[in-house]
Amino acid sequence: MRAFWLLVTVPLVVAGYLAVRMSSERGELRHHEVQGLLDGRLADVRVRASQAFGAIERELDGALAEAPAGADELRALARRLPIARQVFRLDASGRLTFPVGGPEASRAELEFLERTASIWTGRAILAGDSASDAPSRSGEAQRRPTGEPAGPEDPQAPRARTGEDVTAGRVHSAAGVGDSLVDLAARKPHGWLTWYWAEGVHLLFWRRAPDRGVIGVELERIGVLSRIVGALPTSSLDEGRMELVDSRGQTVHQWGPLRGASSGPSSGDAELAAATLALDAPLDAWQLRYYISPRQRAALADELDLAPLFGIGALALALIGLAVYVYREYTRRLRDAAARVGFVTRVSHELRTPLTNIRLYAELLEDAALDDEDQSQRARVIVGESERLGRLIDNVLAFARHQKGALASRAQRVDVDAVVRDTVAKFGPALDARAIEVKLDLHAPPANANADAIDQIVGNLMSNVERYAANGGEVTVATRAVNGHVIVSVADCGPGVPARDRDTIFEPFKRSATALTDSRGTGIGLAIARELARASGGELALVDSDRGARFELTLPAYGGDLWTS
Amino acid sequence: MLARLSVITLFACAASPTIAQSAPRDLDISFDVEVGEPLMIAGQEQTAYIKITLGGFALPTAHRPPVNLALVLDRSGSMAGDKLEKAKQAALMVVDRLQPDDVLSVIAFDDRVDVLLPASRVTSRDALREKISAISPGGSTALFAGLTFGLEEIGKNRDAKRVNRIILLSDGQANVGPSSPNELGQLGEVAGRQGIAITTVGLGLGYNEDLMTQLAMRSDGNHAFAETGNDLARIFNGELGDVLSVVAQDVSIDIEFDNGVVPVRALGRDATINGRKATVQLSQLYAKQQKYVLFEVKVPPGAAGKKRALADVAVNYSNMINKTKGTKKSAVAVEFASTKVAVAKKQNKAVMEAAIEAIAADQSRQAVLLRDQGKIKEAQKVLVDNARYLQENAARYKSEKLDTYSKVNAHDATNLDSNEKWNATRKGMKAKDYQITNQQAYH
Repeated sequence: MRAFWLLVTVPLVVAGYLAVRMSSERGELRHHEVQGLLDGRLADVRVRASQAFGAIERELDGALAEAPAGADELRALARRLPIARQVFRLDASGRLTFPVGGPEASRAELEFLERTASIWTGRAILAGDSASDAPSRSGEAQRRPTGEPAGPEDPQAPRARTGEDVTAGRVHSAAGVGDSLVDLAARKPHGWLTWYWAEGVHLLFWRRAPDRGVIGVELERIGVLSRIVGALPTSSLDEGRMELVDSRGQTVHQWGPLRGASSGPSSGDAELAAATLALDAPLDAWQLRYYISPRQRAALADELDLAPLFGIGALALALIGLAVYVYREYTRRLRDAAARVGFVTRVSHELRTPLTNIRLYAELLEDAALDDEDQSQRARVIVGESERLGRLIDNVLAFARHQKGALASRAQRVDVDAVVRDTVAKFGPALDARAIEVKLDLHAPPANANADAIDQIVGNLMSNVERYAANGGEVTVATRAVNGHVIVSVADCGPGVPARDRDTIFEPFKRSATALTDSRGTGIGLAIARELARASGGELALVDSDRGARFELTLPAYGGDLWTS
Repeated sequence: MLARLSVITLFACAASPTIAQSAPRDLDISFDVEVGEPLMIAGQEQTAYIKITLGGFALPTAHRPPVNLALVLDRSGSMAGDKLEKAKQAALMVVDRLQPDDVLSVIAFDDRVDVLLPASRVTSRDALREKISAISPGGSTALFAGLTFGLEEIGKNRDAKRVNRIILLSDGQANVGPSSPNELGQLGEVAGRQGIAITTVGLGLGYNEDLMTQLAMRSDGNHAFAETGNDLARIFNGELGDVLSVVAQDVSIDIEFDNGVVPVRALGRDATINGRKATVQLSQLYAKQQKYVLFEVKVPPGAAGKKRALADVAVNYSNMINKTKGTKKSAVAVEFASTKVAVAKKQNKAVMEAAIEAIAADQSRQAVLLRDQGKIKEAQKVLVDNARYLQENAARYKSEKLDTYSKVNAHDATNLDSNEKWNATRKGMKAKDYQITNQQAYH
């Protein structure tokens, strides 16, 4: 039975292990796939932002194309551009010609000059050079947005940088040249300049002017943000939630069905974004974030993972189904057997009373017919047969007791040879009747066992000889001592046990196939015999033999290892 | 040369400084430049107030310009209940009053934004009514994103021939996205430069009045304070009245001060001053409504009997009725006299009244600032002083308006102590200040 369960559980465990491994490997793979999917969705959104920003760039480029030099024209130009905060103008030598301080300047222009002073005074700033020769202004915010990868600059270095140069990685090579906006403009027609100030990232767009100077515009940060946000979706069919986060880590706009922790003003950090993507330079301080619930992530990951799990699940189900079927069949047969045993046990008890009477009266008859040899002989047969019937009933009852777990065996010193001799003697008449010659070869020392058990075991073996090996004409019953054990062997010259039945003959109700036609046995004799042998601390086995069947009963010798062969 | 010529022309017809150049007189805006004291004391430097007034003409019946309107409605959790219901009713009223030629978009926001109606002509009112009625409250206040999509929808149909307007209704503090008065003010500026005015309606006592007034001011929209949902219908009606009666927009006033005349400040309205030049942008001018700009200038000493030019003023605008661009020019000058009696006799009551009101509004703003810093005593003193200042001038110019304002200041001064009263008072003061400063037609 244990083997059966092993047969079921081992494949299940193996299949389960494989499933888990496969699942975790696929999970890993799937994780990457999901990540790719999420990143892809963010990238789709980023395209919108980039297009909106591209439109701003084209607008500015067009509006600045004329590049007037007069203050009034430049002011009028700024008024025409909705997202312009301030227009500025450099001449060919890189000198700022507008706006300039003085009584002509408006408050906004003066503020612009103060705000951007570090750009106009330090040439090194544009090149992203070290902080040594850059003016450090106390009013300027030093912090970088969290989450933004540190740029090539020293964090203490000036915050201004030319977006494209930094991304192109030419910063350091350019640093030695002592770059300036006009120098930059000599190399390319327009570009962006970003720097951080109190409110976050600031953007300057500049363009090469026809007079080899530069015209530029500082953008209203909020205006740019608004244009970008306006290009983003307001709803999404995808699960989860996307957010645009500004350089201060503040959610600017969010959409998608997932209601998250960040619906409040300050709880945004409670969740971890499933994917993040910075906007293209120069807006790379702004990030797109994608939040999905763990359940949604799992659902995404499971979409394709179900196939192998289904396979393994089906295998497991099949195995379990088979196991259940086999187990039910097995228990059904056990129940049948138990029912048979119960019936036989009841019948056996019922049989005992009349059998005792038959035997009693047969013995009386035998005593009374002492002088009549014929009658005495017949009475003896009745007595022998009733004794045999008694043994059969004993067997059945012993088996029933065993089924109840009550096959107790009280071991004590037993003269094995005497018990064997008595038992064989009881079979004398029956064996004589079948012309079976009994050869006794008894050399056993006392064993530590139960005499009744030995009697029943040997009786069962002799009974088998009588029943199945009659045509052999001979049975040898021998005892000997081997390595502290007593061995009783019963060897007949009958047809023997077919090879295929050798394993099963000790099981209850398994009679050898050749015996199927023979209905005389109860089918429990050998099973009882072996159980009794084991209960006595011994063993009963069928051993190989040249001819016929040879059973050997091994019993512990009395006094144990005193005896050696 | 041309400029000087036109100045001479203007002086020639000083009796009527308004010259229509591109539209029939009855369908054109009026334009006046006046000075508070046309006669000034000779021999000393003085302060003068220049008032530039634009007047919208009466709208010909059934002849209003089409509007491009976006309703941006706060549906955050705090709007739940009566407020949202009243807001929806007000929005539905707007829908009813629009014509098929008008373009409307409706945006609702909490921490998300929903464009309930993308900009489209008001044709299927029933479907729109359903959408508005279905707005349900919840979430926080993504005011920036809500407005952004309002701008986006307006932008789809923005043109000079339509009245471009956003009406923002909110009862709360913006708390998703850019949320400071300064940042939202910048967004207002961006909108204003595109000719989109944002009218802000603050509902209840929870909204951020600084943010709402900044937004309105920088975009030249209106601002109103509705203490309960019941006021909304009246405010929306007034606002719609304004919106539906825009006669001119993209109004730009350019002032060039005479050599020696130093502009000190523009009172109330945001003006850009570059040395002797100044610019003021107004996005819209309504029918039969006057809007004005006040400049405080320093005038150098002059000799008695002499004239002195103060400034040349030009206004450029789009006439929404005959769909033309208009330009008007005017100039203003003073004369110097030796006696105070003569000066007083010539005083322009309307200009002085407006100037005093604007100065008082400025003081009232200072009081709000002080109260915000917890300086209740100082704030009270400013208000009481302000009330006295108004009272004195009310008597001097026999001005009922200044008298009323004086009483309002005196009353406000008593409401600074308790925080609950202060919240409502502050909103009232801000709204009043805003309406004075921007010459808003309805209150």
